[in-house]
Amino acid sequence: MTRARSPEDDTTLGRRGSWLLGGPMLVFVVAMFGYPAYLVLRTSVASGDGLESGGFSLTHYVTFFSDSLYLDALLNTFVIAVVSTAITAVLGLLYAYEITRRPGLRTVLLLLLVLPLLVNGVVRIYGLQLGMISLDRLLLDAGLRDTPLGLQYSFAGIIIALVMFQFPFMALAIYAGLSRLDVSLVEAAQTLGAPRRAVLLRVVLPLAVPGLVAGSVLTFAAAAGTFIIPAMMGGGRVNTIPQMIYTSVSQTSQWATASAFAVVLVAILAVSILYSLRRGLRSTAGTR
Amino acid sequence: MGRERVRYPAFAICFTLLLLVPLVVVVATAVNPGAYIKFPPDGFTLDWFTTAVETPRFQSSLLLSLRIAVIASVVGLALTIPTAVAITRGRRRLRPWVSTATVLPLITPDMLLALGLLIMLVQIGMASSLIGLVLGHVLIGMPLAVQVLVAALSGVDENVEQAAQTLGASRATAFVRVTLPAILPAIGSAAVFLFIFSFDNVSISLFLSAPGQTTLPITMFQYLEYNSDPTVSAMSTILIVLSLVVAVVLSRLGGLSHLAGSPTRRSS
Amino acid sequence: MTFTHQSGTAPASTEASVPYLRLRAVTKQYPTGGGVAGVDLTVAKGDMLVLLGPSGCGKTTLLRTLAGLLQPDSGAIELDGQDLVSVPTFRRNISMVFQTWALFPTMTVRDNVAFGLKMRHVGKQDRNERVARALELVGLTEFADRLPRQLSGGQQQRVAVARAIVVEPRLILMDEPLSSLDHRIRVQLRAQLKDLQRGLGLTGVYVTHDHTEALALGDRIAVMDAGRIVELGRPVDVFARPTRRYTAEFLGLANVVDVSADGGGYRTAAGARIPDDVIAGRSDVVAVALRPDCVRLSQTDDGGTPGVVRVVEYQPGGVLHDVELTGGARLQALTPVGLSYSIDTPVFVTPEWSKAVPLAD
Repeated sequence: MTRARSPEDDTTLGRRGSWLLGGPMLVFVVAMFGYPAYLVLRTSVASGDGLESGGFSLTHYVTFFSDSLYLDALLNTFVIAVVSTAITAVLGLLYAYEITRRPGLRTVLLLLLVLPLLVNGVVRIYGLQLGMISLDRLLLDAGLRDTPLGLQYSFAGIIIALVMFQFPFMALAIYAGLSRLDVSLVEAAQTLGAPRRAVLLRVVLPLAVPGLVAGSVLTFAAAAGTFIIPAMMGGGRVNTIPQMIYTSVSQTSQWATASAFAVVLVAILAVSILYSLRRGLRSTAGTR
Repeated sequence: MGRERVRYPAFAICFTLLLLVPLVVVVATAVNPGAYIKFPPDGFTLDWFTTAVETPRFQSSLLLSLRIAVIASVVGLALTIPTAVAITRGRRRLRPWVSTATVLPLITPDMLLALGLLIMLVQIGMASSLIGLVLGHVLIGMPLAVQVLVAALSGVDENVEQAAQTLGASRATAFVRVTLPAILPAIGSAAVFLFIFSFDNVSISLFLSAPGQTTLPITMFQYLEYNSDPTVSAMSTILIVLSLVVAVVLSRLGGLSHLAGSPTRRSS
Repeated sequence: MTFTHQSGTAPASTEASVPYLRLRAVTKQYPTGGGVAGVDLTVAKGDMLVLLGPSGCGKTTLLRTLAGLLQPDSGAIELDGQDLVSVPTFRRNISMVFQTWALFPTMTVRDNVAFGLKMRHVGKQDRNERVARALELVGLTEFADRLPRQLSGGQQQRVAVARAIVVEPRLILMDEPLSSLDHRIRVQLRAQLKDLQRGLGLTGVYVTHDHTEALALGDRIAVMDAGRIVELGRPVDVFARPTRRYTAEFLGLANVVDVSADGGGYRTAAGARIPDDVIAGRSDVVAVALRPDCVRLSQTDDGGTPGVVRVVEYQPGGVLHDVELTGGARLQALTPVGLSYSIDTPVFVTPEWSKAVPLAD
């Protein structure tokens, strides 16, 4: 305490300096995030569908929850998000653990992981489609299958693409925690007579939990909010909320409807994330 | 134990390679001599690259994307460097506000950001302006850039700046002559991240691009809705090569590790 | 030189009757606690003052206040007749050696040393000469083009010193500059540092928690406790004749034995009478300090207090015995190497109370 760092006032920036440097970002975020978010909320409860309509009504929400087309889209979005998050979490955990156990290959594995992240998303989806088509053709040519798998333009295709997109983030998030794993910790546990499984469960897993949570939240949000993946991989067959938002705006200029979709999406995201976080916290608290 | 040490991380290797397979397929289809998608390719040609670059749609989109990405990087740096200084050196009571503000866009679905921005820009009559697009891209890339810079700045011993002050440098001079050179690699990484987040962005661009003036990812997306041919593969290959260059630059700047820590790293 | 300018009345040194650096009632408190309160100090030109105390006593706060890195809540600081408080750090013409050395990581050794001169707009030729001389002084001439991270700890420390002295500061401040080094290098650099300071006639304030460093470097020592200066004087006086129990206990060089007034004189808890000339008429005495070499041990009953040797420690000056007296009190005794006793030996202990030093609280 005493020696660590001289307390703020004089060594850090003064009041004016802090505001001068930090202020622009606050203004930027309020103008580019806060105000737009307010506008979405405001538009979603407007009485008409146009931008200028004003007034107040919940029509657009009522429409949403009474139309099976919209509800299906919501269900699709939710299922896609849950399934892809679960798969990504399992794969990410395995991968991160592999990296931790083989420090010699660490750099290579991390580089391989990060590389796809730097490639344009549209290109990666395009590549995935080509890969799936080629796979079908190869299987047909080899006589291993009579009919194509049809992975592109399917629910499974969307999940595969999402896992492919989010997996590196998940693995890296978990690895950030696991990398703090001290090998001597594992050895200490072993000298204390802990069997391998117990070591994994009691020593390794708790370290992975924060990354797992962070990665899952990111994946869930990304999966529920993605437009381009279902748009390209779904081939128009799988409808999701982000797609409906886009079509409402670009094709029919239904601003209020689109805004209501967005609000519902965010509300569901927030509720699911908070709910799982609370449950997650309780379960980890139990193991301590 | 010994047995496990020797075992190859087959799962990890296979899985990462699987992630890279689609990219290989793209490159392979770009060199197929025939005017159709074929994997494995029947031969080898580089003609499609010329075609891709000369296709007016792709050409103008590529230039637009590059221009926007460069502007977004510059604007983004001008915004994020002071922010990072405020977070690491500013008054303690202000810090959490600023760092929370920078995280918000990261945890919000792009679609919502895009819709909100579009509504706002339509209201103020700037719906098709490049300014809106650039600022939208800055919004998307800013969180990671701030994290990179904050990490670098907190790595610089504050005593070093103070030492400069005791030697006769004003606070501003001390920052410019001592701290800034020390975080130069991080500034480079932040710029690259801002560039790539802008260049690759789909959601924001989709909503905020003016008709007929779309960024490259949007043009490619729209093109792919109706056709897929070696031209688009060639364009994709160009982007893949660009990513490789970016990866090399980032690893030299030490910025790759920031991608690793980013989701869990809070204001340090 | 005397240590009477504590009171501010007597002439401080032959050179100047007005102290070079003067602190008056300097106070700097933190909301979280700590800091310094009402510190008065003077330092004569060319002197090295050591601020000695445990971590958290406020010595670094005081040093940073001198540097201008912290602003005092109240009080005055004058250097060479000029008020310092209103002057920002970079215009004070002082320099500081940090505990972490704080070398500029992106600059070579040469550029590190030249930095202060550049800030003072010293011409290139003059600058190069002075940098070369400073590097020669610390023996780093052949390392001029290296980066700090390519140097050993001791070399980095010397760069920090060169960087601080090259600007010919009015005041050089040092914040435990040797504490992160190995013992051997620390002792070596300590001597060099003293040499440099003397040779260049620098006035300095040196912060440390290590009393051997304070002894070696200080012309005067200020012992600090909880934000205040509790003892101030020449090293030999502070060490040989501390006036406060806190000082004696912190230095750890002597037995500290509680005493209480008992009719005409003072007695220890065990009943031993302290000679009156030790107390010298003072009324604030709560304990006495007795150096271990003033405690005699014997195996034959010579009238001393019986006890048992519990710990034996070989030291450069002899053998230190930790003796447990009957009743549980402990006393340390130093004997010549040939006359030591082994652990668990029953001994008779005779403290020479006439050599004790009275301590106030």
